[in-house]
Amino acid sequence: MIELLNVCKHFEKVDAIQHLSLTFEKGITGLVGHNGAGKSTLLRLIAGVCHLDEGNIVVDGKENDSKESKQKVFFLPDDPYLPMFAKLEDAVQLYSSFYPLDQEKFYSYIKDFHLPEREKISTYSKGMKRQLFLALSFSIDASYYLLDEAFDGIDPFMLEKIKEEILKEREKGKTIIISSHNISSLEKIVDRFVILVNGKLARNGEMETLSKDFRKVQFMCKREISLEALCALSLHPLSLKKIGSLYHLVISSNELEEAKKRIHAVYSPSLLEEVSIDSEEMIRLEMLAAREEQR
Amino acid sequence: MKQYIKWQIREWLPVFFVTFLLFGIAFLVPSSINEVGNTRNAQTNLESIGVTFSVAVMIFPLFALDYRYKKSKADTFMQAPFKERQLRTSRLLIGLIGILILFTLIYICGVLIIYFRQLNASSSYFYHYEYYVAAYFFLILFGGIEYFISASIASFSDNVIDAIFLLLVVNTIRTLLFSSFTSYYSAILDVYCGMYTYTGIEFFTLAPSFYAPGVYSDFCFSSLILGNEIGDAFFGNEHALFYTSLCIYLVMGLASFFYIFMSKEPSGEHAGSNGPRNAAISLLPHLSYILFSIWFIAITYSLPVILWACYFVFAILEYCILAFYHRSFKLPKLSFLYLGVSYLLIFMATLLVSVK
Repeated sequence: MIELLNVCKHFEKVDAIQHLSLTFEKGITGLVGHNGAGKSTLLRLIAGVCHLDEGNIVVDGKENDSKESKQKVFFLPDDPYLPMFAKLEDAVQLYSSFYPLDQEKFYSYIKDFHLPEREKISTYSKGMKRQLFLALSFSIDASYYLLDEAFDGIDPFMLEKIKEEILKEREKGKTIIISSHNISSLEKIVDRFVILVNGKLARNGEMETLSKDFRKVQFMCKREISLEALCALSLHPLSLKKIGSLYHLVISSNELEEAKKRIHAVYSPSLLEEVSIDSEEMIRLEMLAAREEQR
Repeated sequence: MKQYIKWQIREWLPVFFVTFLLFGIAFLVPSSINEVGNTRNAQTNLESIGVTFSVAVMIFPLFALDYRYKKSKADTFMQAPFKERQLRTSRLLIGLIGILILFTLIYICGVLIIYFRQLNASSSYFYHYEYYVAAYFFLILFGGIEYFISASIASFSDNVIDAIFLLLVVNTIRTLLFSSFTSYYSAILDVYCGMYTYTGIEFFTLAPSFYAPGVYSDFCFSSLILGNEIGDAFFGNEHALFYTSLCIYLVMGLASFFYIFMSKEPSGEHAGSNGPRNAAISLLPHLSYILFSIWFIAITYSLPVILWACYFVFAILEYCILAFYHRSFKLPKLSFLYLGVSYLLIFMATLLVSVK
């Protein structure tokens, strides 16, 4: 288990991480947030690459920058290093000098991903490099995998294959933290989400818990309706979108019934019904709500 | 750790090979060609290998610390499961031991070449070979010290360009520390200021001895190997200069050694970023500029027109150098403050000398 206790990190004038207390348990955690929210910084702090300004990070009861902790954690940065003109065997040599690496497993991944074995890695495309590093990551015997922007540049066909491999690792009892600003890529594989907004923890929980926070209502109305007009009805809408004459309104769960009543009374819509919110939109809404709260 | 050390040695093999070639060119080639024996033109070839070795130990820490000079490299290397400081110290030690082994090999081969050439020569004259042994130990001692001094300077920067810049700046300060002020007093007071009043050619030959006694000692050991007295190697106050610089140098070496092995590794977030990591470091280019200007004023004091022209040229130059260091012409407030103070100091120094 990785425990973060009141973690703070500042970069000159920027508070990258602010008083973050959090626990990462077994399974897959999606670390999401807008650009500059502090996702990569948080992963670099856990991996011991950056020093903490305040607080503590503990991995299985030991400080995160101790040798014992570092042996259990593998961090895949968004731009990992490889020596110039390196080939696959050079990558294996470098990483196996740091961690126990199962070469057989690595080369079986390479075959599965259809990566050229004899070419220089510098000739690989961005997606191919990413696949190579994911193959390296899961060939390393670690308990915790921190994957920064793990799926960047990977095509949808290969993405499904990689997700399958990640799920296999979860079955083995590993803890995997995947940071991404592309929420859709995390769909269906993550057990829980951690949402960061401006270096603060905005939301943290399983998808089912998060999906209870907001409701979406669609209604048809000929009159022009604005967000301000709904606010004037003492409602607190999170978003309002118009597609033709159909409005989509997102509102917090506890305001749902009240909102339905008032819209019905004031606008007499020809259609008024609740619709489901997909997980990608749910996360986006959580981020939006957290930003609004911080303001 | 053992596996990592093996990997690192393999990774540096090309660099070691180039260093080996350079050492060979600097010692084996002249040892095979130059005149050896009891003549006025006889040579020990210690100067060329001494200078090459001194430069190598100054540059190699840049390779040892380059895992901090790129964000991607820092992310990969600094998460590695080693104890605190183990990565830095192991890389530095691999580099130092590598250079020392190469130097030792070349040195032994070079001395053997000279020995066999003398053995096969018609003359029965032989060099004092015991001083080759003494010179070897002297050189590796000061090579090691210089290595740790350079490593501690380079560790204050977060990318390779800044590291080279800092090495140049600090070496300028070390070179000019005594010479600039004593030369200046000598210029305005018209008095001989003793051992540190060196200008022109003398400055260039002697001032480096302050930062690399190893280099200067080559002249001394060469003299001894050829059978001369130690007094023939030094002139006038050079003895005092040599021993003073030696003491300062040893203290600096010791401080650097402790800094490298005891200080905490800086956080990885700076890796690959430009500019100074802290305010004290950003003061160094100004200090270097002040010392250089004072030294230059001292040696050109008889020509006031050139003096004032140089003042403006140096002022612009300093601004440009700082802009390069910060990668922007819009300097931080603190740098502007330092800049103002250094301009004022140099202006007053120039004024004093030009009035005189």
